[in-house]
Amino acid sequence: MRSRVKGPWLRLLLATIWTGAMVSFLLVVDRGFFGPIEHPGWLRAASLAEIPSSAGKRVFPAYLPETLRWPPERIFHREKPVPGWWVGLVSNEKPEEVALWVGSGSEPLPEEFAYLRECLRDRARCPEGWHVFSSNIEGIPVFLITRIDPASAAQILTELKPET
Amino acid sequence: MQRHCEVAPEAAVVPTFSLMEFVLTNVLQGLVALVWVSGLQRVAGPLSAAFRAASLEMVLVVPLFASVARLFFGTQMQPESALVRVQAWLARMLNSEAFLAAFVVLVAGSALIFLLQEAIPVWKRARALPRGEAFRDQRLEQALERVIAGFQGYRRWRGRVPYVFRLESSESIASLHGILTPRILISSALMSKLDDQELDAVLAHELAHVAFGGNPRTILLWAVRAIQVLNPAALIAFRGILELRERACDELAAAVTGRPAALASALLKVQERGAVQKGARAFQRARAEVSRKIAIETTRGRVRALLDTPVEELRSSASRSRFPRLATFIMMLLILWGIR
Repeated sequence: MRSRVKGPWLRLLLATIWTGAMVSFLLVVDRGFFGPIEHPGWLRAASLAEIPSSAGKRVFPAYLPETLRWPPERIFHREKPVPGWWVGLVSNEKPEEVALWVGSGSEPLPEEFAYLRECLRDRARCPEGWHVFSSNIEGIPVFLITRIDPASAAQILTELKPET
Repeated sequence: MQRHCEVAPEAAVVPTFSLMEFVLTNVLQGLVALVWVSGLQRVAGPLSAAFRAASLEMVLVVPLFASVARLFFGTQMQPESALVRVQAWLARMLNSEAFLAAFVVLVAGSALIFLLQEAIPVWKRARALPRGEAFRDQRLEQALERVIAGFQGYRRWRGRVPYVFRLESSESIASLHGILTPRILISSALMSKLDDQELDAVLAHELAHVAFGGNPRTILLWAVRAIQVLNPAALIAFRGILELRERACDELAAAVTGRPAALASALLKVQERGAVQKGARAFQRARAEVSRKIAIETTRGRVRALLDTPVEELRSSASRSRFPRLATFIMMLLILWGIR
């Protein structure tokens, strides 16, 4: 009687084809029903407590001048494609406008202050009255974009502390 | 003037792996694993019964393994790499009454079948073990020596060689008992029907059960299956394992003795029992008749497999390496890891 057994390499090939076909089918069905995964981008949070740990390690100013309000009025965070967070502080004089942005994360910036992106690329191209500072605090690249006086901004930057 | 900023403590991010999600994940993983191993048999087969039984054991074990792993590593996994996004399917299911009802019927039906056809019968069977006096028997001892010698080269004994006893009984019984100390019982009625070659084959079959893990392995698998009581794939896989284990033991016994026809003949002689009792109620008679017909069909399949498969093929499958099983396990784990 002729043997019905296939050779080991043929079996391996057929098993691989079958596995690939099944995995592809599952992927097509899942993506067909629910579509591809889209990154929601920057999400706005109401409080600092809402920033998830997946947004990356944060730093906070240990020092702030009296003119700035705390807690921040604007809070953004994202998980994908690169974790990041930004907080915007307003001044007492002009509470409707953010006077200082502190944050971490690659471009694009949140829509609200996307016009400041040139600052991150080249500080000479910041809009008039705006300054940019950057630092690396315990491995976290942090940017500070502000229109308060540069001396206060520098002090804020030097006294940024990573959250424990 | 210096101000210190108070930072509110971050809200705890709790991994959300609800019971509903656990059940759906387990069911999906089980079904996918079952389809995959069934496809392997169809596409790359015929595969040996031992390999198929082992892959069905993986269908039982790997989903549970993956679910437990997810409890520990669930929050670290990204949805982009998921093959099937269980949370999305769960949300769809919870939003559709028809989908939800079908799922509830599926899992509740699986649980009911487990209770009625596995849990209660196992309990009854445990209480109705064959009773009678058991003796050491010289004919059986000699057969055991011959068969054990034949096992060399196929399987290494992990434990002691089991004891074999002759059970004084008028029924044709050949079975393996005991958990830590395996004992093979062959009834005197069966022994009187079997010639030496058939007796060797029957003993080899029971010894093959021990070689494949025996009762401890079955109990462990039953426990794993009981944990997944709501999973229909676990129901199908467990039944498949029991059937394929018998076939695997047939294959190994035929390879060891080199006489598949002797085992086929012995199987037919064991099958002779099971006449329906006179005076039984109609329902009992009908149930006994159905059981008898199923047993006849099962035996017919086993006999056909033994007689249709060349001895060389049986020997080759009995001595096959562990690599295909390891590869199957790893591949199944990878596929099921994608369902989360």
